[in-house]
Amino acid sequence: MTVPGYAGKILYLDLTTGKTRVEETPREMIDSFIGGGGINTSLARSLVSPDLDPFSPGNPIIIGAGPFAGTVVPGGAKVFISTRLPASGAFARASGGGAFALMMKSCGFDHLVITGRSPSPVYIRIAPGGVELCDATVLWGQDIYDTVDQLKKLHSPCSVIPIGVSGENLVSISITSIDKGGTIGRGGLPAVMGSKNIKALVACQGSTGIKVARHAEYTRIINGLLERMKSWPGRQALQENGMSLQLVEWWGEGHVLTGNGTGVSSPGPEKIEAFRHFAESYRSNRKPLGCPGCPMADKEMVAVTEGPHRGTVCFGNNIRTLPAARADYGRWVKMTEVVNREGLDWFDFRNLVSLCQFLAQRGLLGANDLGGAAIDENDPDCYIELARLTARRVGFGELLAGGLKGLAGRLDPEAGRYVTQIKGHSPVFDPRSSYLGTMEFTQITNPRGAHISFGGSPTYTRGRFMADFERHSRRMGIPAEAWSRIIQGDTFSLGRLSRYSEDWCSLFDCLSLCNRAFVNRFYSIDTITALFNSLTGLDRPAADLMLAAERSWNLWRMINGELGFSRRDDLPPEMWFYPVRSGGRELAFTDYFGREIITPDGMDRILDQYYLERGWDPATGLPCTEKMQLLGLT
Amino acid sequence: MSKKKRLAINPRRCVGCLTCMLRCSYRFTGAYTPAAAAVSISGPDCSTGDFSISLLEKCDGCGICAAFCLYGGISLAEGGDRL
Repeated sequence: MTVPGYAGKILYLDLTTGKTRVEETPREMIDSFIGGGGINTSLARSLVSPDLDPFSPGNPIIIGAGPFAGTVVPGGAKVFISTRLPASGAFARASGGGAFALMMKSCGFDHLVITGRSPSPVYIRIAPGGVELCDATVLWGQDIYDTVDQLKKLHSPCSVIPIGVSGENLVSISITSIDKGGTIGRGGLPAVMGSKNIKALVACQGSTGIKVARHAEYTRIINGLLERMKSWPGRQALQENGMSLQLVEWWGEGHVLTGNGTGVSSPGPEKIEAFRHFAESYRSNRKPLGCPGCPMADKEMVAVTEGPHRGTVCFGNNIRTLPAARADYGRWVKMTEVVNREGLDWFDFRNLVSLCQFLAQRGLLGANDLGGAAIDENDPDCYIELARLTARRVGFGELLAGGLKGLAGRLDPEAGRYVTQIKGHSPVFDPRSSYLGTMEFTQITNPRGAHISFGGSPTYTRGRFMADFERHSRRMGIPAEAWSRIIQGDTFSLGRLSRYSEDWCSLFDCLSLCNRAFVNRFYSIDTITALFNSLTGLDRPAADLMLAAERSWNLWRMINGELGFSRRDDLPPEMWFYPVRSGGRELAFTDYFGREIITPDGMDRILDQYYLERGWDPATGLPCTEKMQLLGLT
Repeated sequence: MSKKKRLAINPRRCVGCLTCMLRCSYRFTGAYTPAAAAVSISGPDCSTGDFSISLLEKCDGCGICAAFCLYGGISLAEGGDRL
């Protein structure tokens, strides 16, 4: 019998033979891994091996939706895609918003496991009860927006995860967008799809209903959450300003490091004035878009209504602005549109462009490497040109297409130290311009490579008092026995706190719950447990759910351990240890409170604390046998 | 209680979150089944960003869509009864 909250089935598709099989979602997987990203990881265990590189036909693409997806849980819309990615070589758990998880479950499937390689371009249409492989020859070569538009015309109501030209050309910094909006798969998910000749995944609207075990109790919890969310002052600001402007409000204009972390851009009157003009245009030309059931609607459609770029429209949740040149609204929206259409990850792409300019100016990258391309990291037209070259691997674009690891491999050690990367990914937050909180630190420990989805904690914002930490620790389900190890007088152990921060976010992954700060902040372990139990009727204690989240994280780490990853890959970029100077002020790599400079030895000590709190071997950075036994993973 | 409630539609305010379809479908089927909803959301329009909101034949005007709309895309018109 299908457990309420679940669609009940897993579909396996072998693209090489075209054969499919459908199985019940095993109850023991639900018990051990809950769902979503958790069950994805469990399904991968027998499919991922060191002899399968990211582009091997056997490298699986596993798509998952947790029990909160397809219901009205606020923020419960996430879809998870797990595969081995080319940028890092790591087995990743990628996530995105939009309606894909809802649609997939409406067709009866909690998960879809794809292996093999199609002999010709196809798109996979997920329909009630099964999948259909549809000819995608005419779509091959089309960009992300056009592909979504054409498939929506054919199959609406549906949700589409397409690949752009960059995916077709196996570009390791490729990314895609669900229904043009929510990004998913930085590090080359589209390239893995492209290697299998998959142009798109299309989840149609089916007729499977998601049941609720105790509807009155479940509705009461959700309505209480919604009341709190709707009355939060930040919600109105988010609706009016969008993510792009709201981030400035939250984090301040401040000093912004340049793309590759070697320089700094400081705010000045002219830049603030330029930004004011930009903000006025942006506010008046954006339309908020929301994921299913979400009261925050942080996605958006942004249009240009005047000037040479009139008619340009782009989707997502942040216009790619640079502090150095934000005055020209139309040009930056145009650039964002092109980068999105080509399907390139902005963080890695910008980092690479900025780094190559820096290296070329110092003679560390030669004219032959650049292939005659002119680089100006403050010029939107430069990004447009380079995006097109990168997606097609033409000229200098071939170098950029290989990503940060590829570039680092071509440089001598002197130049290589300037490559700011963690396991092939560009960090999103540089602790020199912010501070070292869990968000910054877990970029180092994430099995996938630098990513920011797993660091939610009291350190999300600067200047928290220690009194806040205990309250947040309770909210995040941190057991009381761990507090004495985490909270140490007027400071805290970042390594130990980060273990629980990751587990907390892992729980969100297992449930399909969005862990953006403005959603996460309304949830506590007690709320989540009550919601899960009223939805599923399984009546599991909170500690049991946290254990499942921890189990899935440990298994994820174990899988990557088998792929060769270990502590030696948990390295911060060397550049973080070099201060940058701006306007007489030095921006250094310090702890959360800005009291102590972090040295390489200090970072080692933080990592030691992290591994110890996880029950992992500090020498290898991998789960110990005892830990694996405790979690039932042996 | 009258079933003839009047619903006001404002596509400009709709963000496409589908909450109305999910809530409506639960009333009809006892499960979240968007295909069974009496309200349909499609879009967004590529030039305006607006969604199309349609009330289907089987809509009995119960107002559950308006009661739970998070953005004002569907609301009870003046004079309409509250749930």
